[in-house]
Amino acid sequence: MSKRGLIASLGIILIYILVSLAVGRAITTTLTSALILLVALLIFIIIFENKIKIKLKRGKYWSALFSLYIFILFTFAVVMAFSYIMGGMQIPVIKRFLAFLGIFIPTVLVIAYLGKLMGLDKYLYIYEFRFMDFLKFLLIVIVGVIILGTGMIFLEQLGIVSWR
Amino acid sequence: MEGKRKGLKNLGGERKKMENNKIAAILIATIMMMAIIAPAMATNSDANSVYKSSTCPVCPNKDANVSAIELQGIEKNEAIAKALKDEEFIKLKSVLAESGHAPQLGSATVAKIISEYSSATYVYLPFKAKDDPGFGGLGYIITEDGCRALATDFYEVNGETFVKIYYIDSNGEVVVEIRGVDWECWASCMALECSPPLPGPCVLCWELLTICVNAPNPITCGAAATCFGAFGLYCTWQCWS
Repeated sequence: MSKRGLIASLGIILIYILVSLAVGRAITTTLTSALILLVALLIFIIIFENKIKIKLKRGKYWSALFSLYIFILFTFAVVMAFSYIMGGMQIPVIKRFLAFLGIFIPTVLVIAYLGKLMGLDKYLYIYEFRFMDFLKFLLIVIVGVIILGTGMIFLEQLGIVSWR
Repeated sequence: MEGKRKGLKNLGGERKKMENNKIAAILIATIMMMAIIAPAMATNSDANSVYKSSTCPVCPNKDANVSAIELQGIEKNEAIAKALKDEEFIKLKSVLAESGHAPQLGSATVAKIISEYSSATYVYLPFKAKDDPGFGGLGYIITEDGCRALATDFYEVNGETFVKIYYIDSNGEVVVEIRGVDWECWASCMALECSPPLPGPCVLCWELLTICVNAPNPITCGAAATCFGAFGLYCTWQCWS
């Protein structure tokens, strides 16, 4: 685990806690959420950070993507386990997660495919981008946002899931 | 000489490339910061308020030199009678009645609004919905230049408050105006969605952001930016109508 990664993760968790408290969340629930986040992040840093980096360095783009999927599913399992321990199994939470994963995974697949199509797969670090590559990246993200966001709205419109 | 010139040209190209990289790095950092800061900026003091907290159609401006006096007695009755006879008012009253609202004539209020430029009399007739907690209101403004009526219909869908504004256009037709994006609502929505009391889908966005910071590449950062962006799009939809 790199020192930089640990500091970055702790920084993001601190911001997460501050945001939760600022909108009036209870301290107990905020800290519970932060704890779940911390556990999942530490697991990621230990297991997946280097895997994704090495796979990209070797040009194994789809394999790196697969690692990311595994990480997302892994996080999902951790969050569900904590949810079960802390407050009993909550069907709406599970339903929301499943629905979100159901549209998120194909979206990331589209992002990755478009990234490869536009030649962004050769970059190990995003800050090595040239300006034109960055514009391509933005375009891909916008496409992803439209797919995922529209999917979320569509599911709520159909009455399958409510994100609130 | 020629070689030297080529060398200098290459050096210039390298410098340009480095500058482009710097610009790209700054832009990426800005996007990441925005993803983090946007929910924080949206702090709402009322924890239990729904996204649509700014539902006042005309919010008071503390700096404006305007005073309002509530009218009583004959002046009040005259203003209400004038409103009840007005064609626009009658049309909008029937629109609200069709929506299942009943006028509360006993609770009607009349105010004289005086500003440094002009003065007007404002009649407000509240409507009560058959199915609570929705409610409506019919406003009628009398000025020297003429009279206008405006109806508002507040209703709830899945615990969220929405507002419809009705008025009469120049052709005498009833127009329903659905409000555009309410940015305060949007900011509150982002804050509430992305700081859930219980783990919700937005938890994944925070985790993806951490992955992006640790291993910044098109897959990880694209996923994180898309995740936050999707919630942004969802909140825009929530705060649109």
